[in-house]
Amino acid sequence: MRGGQLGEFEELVLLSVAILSDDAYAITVFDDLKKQTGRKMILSSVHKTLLRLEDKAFLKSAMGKATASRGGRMKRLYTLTPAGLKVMTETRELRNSMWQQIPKINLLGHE
Amino acid sequence: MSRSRLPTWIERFVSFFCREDLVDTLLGDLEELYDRRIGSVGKRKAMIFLVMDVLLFLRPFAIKRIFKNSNTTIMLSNYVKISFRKFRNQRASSLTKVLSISVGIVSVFFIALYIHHETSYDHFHSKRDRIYTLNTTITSPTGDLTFGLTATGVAPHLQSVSPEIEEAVRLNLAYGSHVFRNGEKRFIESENILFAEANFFKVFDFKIIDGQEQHALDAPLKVVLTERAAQKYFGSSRVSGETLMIDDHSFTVSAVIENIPKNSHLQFDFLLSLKTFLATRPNAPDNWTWMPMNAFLLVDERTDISRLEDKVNSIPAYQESSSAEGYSVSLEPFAGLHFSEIQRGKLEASGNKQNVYILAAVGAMILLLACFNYINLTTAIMSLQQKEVSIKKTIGASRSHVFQQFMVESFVASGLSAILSIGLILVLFPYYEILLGTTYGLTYLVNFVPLIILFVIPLLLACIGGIYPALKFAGISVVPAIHKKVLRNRLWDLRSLLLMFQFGVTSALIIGSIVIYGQLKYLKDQDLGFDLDRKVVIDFGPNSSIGNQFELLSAQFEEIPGVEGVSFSSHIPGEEPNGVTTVLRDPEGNERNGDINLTLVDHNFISKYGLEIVAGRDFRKGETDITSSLIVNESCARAYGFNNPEEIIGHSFQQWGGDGKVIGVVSDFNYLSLHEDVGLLSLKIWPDQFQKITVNLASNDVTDIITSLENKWNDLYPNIPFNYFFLDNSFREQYQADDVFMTIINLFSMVAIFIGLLGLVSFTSFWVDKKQREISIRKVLGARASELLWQFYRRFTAPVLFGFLVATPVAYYFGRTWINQFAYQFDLTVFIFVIPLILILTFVTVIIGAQTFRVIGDNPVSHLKEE
Repeated sequence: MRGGQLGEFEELVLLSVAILSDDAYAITVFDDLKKQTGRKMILSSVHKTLLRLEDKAFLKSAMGKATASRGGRMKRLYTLTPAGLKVMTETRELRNSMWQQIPKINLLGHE
Repeated sequence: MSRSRLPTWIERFVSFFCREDLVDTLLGDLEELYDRRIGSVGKRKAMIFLVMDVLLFLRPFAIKRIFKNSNTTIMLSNYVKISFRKFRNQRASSLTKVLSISVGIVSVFFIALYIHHETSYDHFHSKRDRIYTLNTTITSPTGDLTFGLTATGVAPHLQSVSPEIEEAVRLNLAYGSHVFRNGEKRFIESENILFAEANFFKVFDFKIIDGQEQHALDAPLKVVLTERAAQKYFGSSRVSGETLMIDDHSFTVSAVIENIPKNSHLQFDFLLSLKTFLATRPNAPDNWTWMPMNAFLLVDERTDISRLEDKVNSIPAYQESSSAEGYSVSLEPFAGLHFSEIQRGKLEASGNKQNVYILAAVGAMILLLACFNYINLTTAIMSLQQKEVSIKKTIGASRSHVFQQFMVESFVASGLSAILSIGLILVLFPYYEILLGTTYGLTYLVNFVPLIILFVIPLLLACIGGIYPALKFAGISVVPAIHKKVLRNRLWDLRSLLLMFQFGVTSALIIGSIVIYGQLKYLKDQDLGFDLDRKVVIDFGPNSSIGNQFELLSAQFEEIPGVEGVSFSSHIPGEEPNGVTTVLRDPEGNERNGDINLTLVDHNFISKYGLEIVAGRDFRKGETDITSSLIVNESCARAYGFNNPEEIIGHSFQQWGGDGKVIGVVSDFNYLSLHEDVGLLSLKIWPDQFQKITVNLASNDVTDIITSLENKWNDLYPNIPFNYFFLDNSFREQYQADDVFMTIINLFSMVAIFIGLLGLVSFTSFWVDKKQREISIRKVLGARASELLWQFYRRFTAPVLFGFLVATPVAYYFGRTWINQFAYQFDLTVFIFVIPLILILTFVTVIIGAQTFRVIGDNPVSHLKEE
């Protein structure tokens, strides 16, 4: 996964962060993805991907509020960067474009 | 801040292994989930999930970067990266360096293994430092003779007079061949049967795997087997209590011991109780001139050896002897027995300490060669790297950085060599074992102390080889190096010296190999004084009924087409004959008692072996010559004082097996290997003692003849195995150890040559590349190719030649010393030195020529354009 390409999971995480807006951190993304995809999630995978995306500058993070349920520890909140937004849209556009190129006949039953 | 509800151990665990910047967030997330889960699935399940989650966090991305972030590590990985890059750019010389060193290490390793093997003989006997063997010396006017045997009564006598002797063990090697049988399994065994006294296991440590040590040898007709022997006859090692037939006597297997490793002076497959031997020779203890026993003493720790020696030296039976010869007994420590100077009568052939030293020297030289290659190549590349260093310094690298850079490069190269060496060793080890005949297996290597060599040498080399360039570069000043430096063209700089040394060593090794090869070939090609070829020997063991039918049998065999002659004897050339004391009157009429060899033969023996009678007559058919006529060889006659062989004819003799008169003298022939001079041999007819039949064949087309022989044999003696071999093969087996040594030396010489040439190739290649511009300029200015060739040639050949010249006298000296151990010596002619010279010069010329041609043919413009 070089700079301009997103892995499948990375894309999902980015989408989730975008959806959650101000409240995107490991647990919420974890829950959201679990709900959206119905897959069994591993917490560490989410952490890993979040860190990766931050390294690639698609996300940026800031420390957020501490709560009692976290034992008084702060959470790390992630938000989308312009670059992140860009790469998401590019991916989406690529998909759309390829979908449009499919001859109608192959889509029988799916239209 | 409310208190965390996570168990403390989890917190500690995570803080321990997790990245600092992640720890807190992680713990917070975990706690949040845990908290939530308590509500939904209960505390128990929440805990389980928690632990699972924690475990799943043990992934690379989350682990503490202990090393990664320090400055040193970053620099180190940088240096390593650069090292690898340089490697790729300098592929030829780098490969050469690594290869040379690996080959050097592997060679040294195997040599070390060999040396370790040779010097570790008998180490497995825990009491070896307290064990001594007894040697007897006979002083007679014919000369002193020392051998490792004593009379039967010596050891028991010593034990009775010396309380310091804890145990005295007598061993006796059973001569000749014997028939062993268990049911259908029937084989002839020889030279691997020892008679041993009951306290054998109290002195020597051989591991018993079946049966009891206690009563293993305390009564006649008991035998101890090695695993190998047990498997051979019984198909299993758990055979104590079983019966084994030996020469048609019933023996009970009392114990089985582990197979005996190669590095043991005591080698046997069968251990028979000494009582069996003594039972058939009731007079032995009173016979002080018959020496059949290899005796070993186990002494008390606090023994004063010199006092014991005194007691040993003065055995009453010998003190009181009135004969002209003197007998004395002496002690020899068991620990160093493998390298003993005294070979005669010993149970196993001695190792050659000289060879061990030689190999050690060879190993050291090879290592030196490899080092020189390394240093040579490293310094050669230096000039190329000046630019790089200078640029780095300009950018701001400190001296220590540059230094470290080069040291790391050094270590990387050494590291790669070490890895390659390990690989090579693992692959080559089985072949090494085959060569030496050992069966240690790879596990042996793990305990092996010299394994340290594998690590120490690369490290040392890295340091030594790397220091010079590293220091030099660190100290280089920046500006002058960016412009091209003028290369020094002196004939005698460091590199030339190294080359000289390298080829000196290589020359010495080649010369050494030739000398050794020449000497051994000389030994094998020598005229032995008898016919070795086209003889098949049938070994039927001690069987007096067959022996006594020798005339009938000979007639039968002679009928077979292709058989040119048949003779019977107790021993064949290549085997040590019986040793017997023989009394003869010398020319002055004094009785001389000498210890000489005796072989029992039939009347055909001398003629069928192509021997010459120089005085008197050969044996005649009929009764008269049986046991009462003796034929001796020239050396024997001389030893008894008869310089003219004619004179000994008619003198009477007294000897085991019959007294009588000397009827003839036969020419000297080498019945044993040429390591020694011809021994003192006597021949007598005594059919009872015959064990071997020699069949002379008309041609080399043997298969049919052997089948016929076998068929005839089986018709006559269906119960006796037809055991045959070729005389030339068995005779040459005596040179086996030498052959092994020669193979090893040849191998290592080739290794040394290889390393030397490899170094030369890379070096010249590199050098010529560097000089491209110079060559091109000269071409443009009108120099002819031949002049340029000559110039390069001269530069490299000079050190090589000088190396050779220096090596020659040194090699000559050592060669001579080595050859002196042999009674028959190969002539060291000039020829020996000429061959290596030609060889080396050819190689060098070809290499230099090839490299130079490469560049000379080029269009000068292409090189000059570079600017």
